[in-house]
Amino acid sequence: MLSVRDLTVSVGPETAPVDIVAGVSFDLAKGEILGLVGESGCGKSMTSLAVMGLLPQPGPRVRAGRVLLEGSDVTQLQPWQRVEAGHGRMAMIFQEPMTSLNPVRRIGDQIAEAVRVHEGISGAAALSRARELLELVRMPDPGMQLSAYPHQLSGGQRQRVMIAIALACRPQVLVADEPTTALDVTIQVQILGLLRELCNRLDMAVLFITHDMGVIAQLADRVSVMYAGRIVETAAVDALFGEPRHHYTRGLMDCMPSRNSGVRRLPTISGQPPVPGTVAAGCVFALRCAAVHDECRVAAPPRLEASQGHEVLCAFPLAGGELP
Amino acid sequence: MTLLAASVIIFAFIHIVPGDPIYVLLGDTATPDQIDALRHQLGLDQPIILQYLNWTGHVLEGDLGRSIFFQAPVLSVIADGAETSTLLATMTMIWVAVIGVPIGMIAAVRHGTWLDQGLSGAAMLMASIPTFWVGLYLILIFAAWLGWFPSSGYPSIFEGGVVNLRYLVLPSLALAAPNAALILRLTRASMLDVSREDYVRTARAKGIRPWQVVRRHIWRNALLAVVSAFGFTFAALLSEAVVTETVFALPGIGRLVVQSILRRDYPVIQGVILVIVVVYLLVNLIVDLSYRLLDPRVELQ
Repeated sequence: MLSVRDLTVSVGPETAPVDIVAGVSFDLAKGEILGLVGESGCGKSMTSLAVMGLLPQPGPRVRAGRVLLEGSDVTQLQPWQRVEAGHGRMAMIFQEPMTSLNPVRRIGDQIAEAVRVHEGISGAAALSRARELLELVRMPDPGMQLSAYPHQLSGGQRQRVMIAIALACRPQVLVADEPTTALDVTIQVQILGLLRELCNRLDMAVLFITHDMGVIAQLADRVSVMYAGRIVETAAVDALFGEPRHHYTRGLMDCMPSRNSGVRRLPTISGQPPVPGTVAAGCVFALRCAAVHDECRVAAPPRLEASQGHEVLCAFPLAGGELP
Repeated sequence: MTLLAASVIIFAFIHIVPGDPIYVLLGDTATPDQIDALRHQLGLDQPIILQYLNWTGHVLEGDLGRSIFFQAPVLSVIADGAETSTLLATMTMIWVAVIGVPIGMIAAVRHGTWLDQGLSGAAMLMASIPTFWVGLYLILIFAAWLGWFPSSGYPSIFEGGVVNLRYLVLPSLALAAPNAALILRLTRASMLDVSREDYVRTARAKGIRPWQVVRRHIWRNALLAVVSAFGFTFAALLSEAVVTETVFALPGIGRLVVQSILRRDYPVIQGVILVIVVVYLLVNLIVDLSYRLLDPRVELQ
């Protein structure tokens, strides 16, 4: 459904670009949820914006690589250009439901607007479709909410509206950038459940971006772990949590409270992620890696297939079955 | 409350300033007896507190007193100036709205291009040129050379009809130049601010065309900041267009204030300033009410 190949997003001058996303590749199948996990600043949001053609302008740009939607190259197209070219069936929901809706326009209006673009219907028909969409996302009292303004809704309700707007595009691919980070835990569970259900029912492919390993474990089918602009490990959820192969992934696992019951102080990965553009050669994780070899500092790590569908970007990956 | 505070300040400041209306009226040759008699007649021999209470009492009854210089009710003196000033300010604001806002929008949409830089540069230039200079050149070109518009004065539209508005075209253009430039820059900055908002990204994600994004999601939100600037520009134009009024010899409020201060015409100064304070309060109220129309988050209390 969606293929991303060697996506590279850069900032700075053309002559000396700094890659904040460096050669990211992944595939997304129908009805599948791929989790993209990483810490703040690792490039996961930039990846999602680049995939959607929504990079802020002026600002970062896609310097290399391709985004293929059902085989069509949409890399350099903004959403409206994709709609014109007939590849508009992608949608995105964002982290901040509080600021992602226009405060001076009614909810129904904001959903109907997306309906008009993607279905070519307008007026009352678009509004009744908006109402259907609100029902689809389990909005309480959808008829009333059509004429509400965003400030009259709670955070969870606003995120439902955002999902309704996204669904108005009849998306084949839904990109969700930390959609539950700003919500209460109980609401978070509801929204995650809703996303899973919609994904199954509408057969959508979902790219789910988060920094929360717990959410990934709960929701995703497959996971890609990002570090310093690169995907360092990709696997099915069970395989990744059961047998992490990359030292960084392993480090993240060791930091999780649920795996450290009774410990007073959680372990951490020492050091800081590198500032983009400062790693000239070798592995980006070499500075912080516990199992670093001399070779890691000079040669870029290979992408190895540890097992079927389990890829790792490391010259000396962990052996399988290491976690208890 | 604001009015009360304003009235005290006005009164105090005027009487702190040295000078005496009696000498302005009677000249150097007056005898001490004449001076005392007039001072008594105008009530200027009373203690200042009493003068203030006296004045406030009359104001509350709708009587702003009599002008010492014009020997006429202050209200009618102000009314004469107010006609010119209101029409001038209104016409100026129309120019500001039709020039400043759209060009500011264009500059914002073409943000970063040579067009934006050219327009912003021109705006900077217009904001920096003094109005009297613009006024003089407008007179030179459109009045002296081309003869399209009269160069000075303003006969009331109540006497000569609406055609007399042509007297205000050049002065309003002169006044509009710097103000349109400021509104242009404000519109541009405000639009750019709004275009970085998350909801604009949401709108783009829907696949709406760029100009639709501007029309539906940026423009109205950006207008919020511009509206309050509009209100205050209007209020300022009513009272502060002194230079332009002087260049074009218009009988406006700004000139009235300055001349009254020079003549130490206390009742007129007090009256005009009071009226200006009221106008500012009204404009503030109108701005707040228009926010209610533009932004559903603002609830009327």
